[in-house]
Amino acid sequence: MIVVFVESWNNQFKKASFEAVSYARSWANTAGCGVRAITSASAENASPLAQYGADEIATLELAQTGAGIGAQLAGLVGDAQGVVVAGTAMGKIIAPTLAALTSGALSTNTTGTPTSTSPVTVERGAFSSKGIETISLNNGLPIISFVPNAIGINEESGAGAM
Amino acid sequence: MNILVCISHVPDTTAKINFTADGSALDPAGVQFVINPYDEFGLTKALHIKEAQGATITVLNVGGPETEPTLRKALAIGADQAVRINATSTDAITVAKSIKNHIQANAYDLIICGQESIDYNGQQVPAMTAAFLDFPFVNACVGLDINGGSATAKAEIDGGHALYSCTLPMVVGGKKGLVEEKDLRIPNMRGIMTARTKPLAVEEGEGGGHTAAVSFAKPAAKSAVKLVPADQVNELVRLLHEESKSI
Repeated sequence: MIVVFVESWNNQFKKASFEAVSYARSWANTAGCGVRAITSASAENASPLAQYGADEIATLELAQTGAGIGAQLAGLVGDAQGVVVAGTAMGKIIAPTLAALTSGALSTNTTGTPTSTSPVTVERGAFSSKGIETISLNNGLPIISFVPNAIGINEESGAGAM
Repeated sequence: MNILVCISHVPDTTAKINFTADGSALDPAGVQFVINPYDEFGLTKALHIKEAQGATITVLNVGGPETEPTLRKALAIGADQAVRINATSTDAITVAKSIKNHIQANAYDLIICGQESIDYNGQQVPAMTAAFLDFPFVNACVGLDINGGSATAKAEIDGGHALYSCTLPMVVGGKKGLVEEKDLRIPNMRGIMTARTKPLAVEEGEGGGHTAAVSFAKPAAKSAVKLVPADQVNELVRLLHEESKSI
């Protein structure tokens, strides 16, 4: 499973939320697995995530801080093949916290979906956008934090089991 | 109070970035290296705290011997002592582990990092360091007040600001706004002279790595501006949705 953390604001999703699910769907299609979305939104508001590719949707009460959410996710991703977090202000704390606590392999500022899954290889911005780095995530749980608006939204239905 | 300021050794912001012929790394020829601009805000903030309530400031870099001039510049600006952790700095989690190890062996009340370095733009090390230590962490920090054993921190978030109250020790990922650009400290002659004799210790860092750079390349040249006639709103929407992915 590719696990995607889907951020919500006052029980509502923004574009970055749907983009995160689309990203996870794209990665899961390459890896030959499913997508599990984790969100704090209510089940009623979370169900539309299925149309962007979520096969499973878990709604949880989450911590108030990015570090707290990162710690919660660390306990939920044991069976994951990868994790996706949007590069929002909160996501920029969640992703590295998760990587530290799971001894994962993290790519931030990512601008593309994985071009390889063994190891996971992605492109990211570097040198303040004067360069593009291709990075491989070699050891530990692959975790990708992408730049919002870099990937776009794709509607591709998942099973959406709550 | 003991303050640790983490310093990155990065290409100057005006440097022309080129990569080696095989694309495996930055070509350092002709590149001037400086203190990471985000870290400069943190160092000046530390100096403000020192002048207000007294503190010892240690600056730390994870890198090879080539980074020592950058540490000496930080000493010239006003830090009291420096530590270079001898390790490569291209994998964030091993950098954070090295910093964590140093912090666990020394007592710090406040750890100030820049929110990111302008070479790898990772925004990873400060949060990772805080997670390893289980310290409170505030990122994108644009305001910090210390009151005894606690702190109030202002952070930029999506759509505004947030105020956090934390106990010390804590980790901060700072940016412009932590201090104003006009207040950044620069070395004076006395600072440059005394920097030569201030202590600079070297410790061994963590090895290994979880990620690896495969290659570097320059981005494609920007395309010409597209002008969309005012009566073609549908075409504008299509371009924003399909090409720039803005909506």
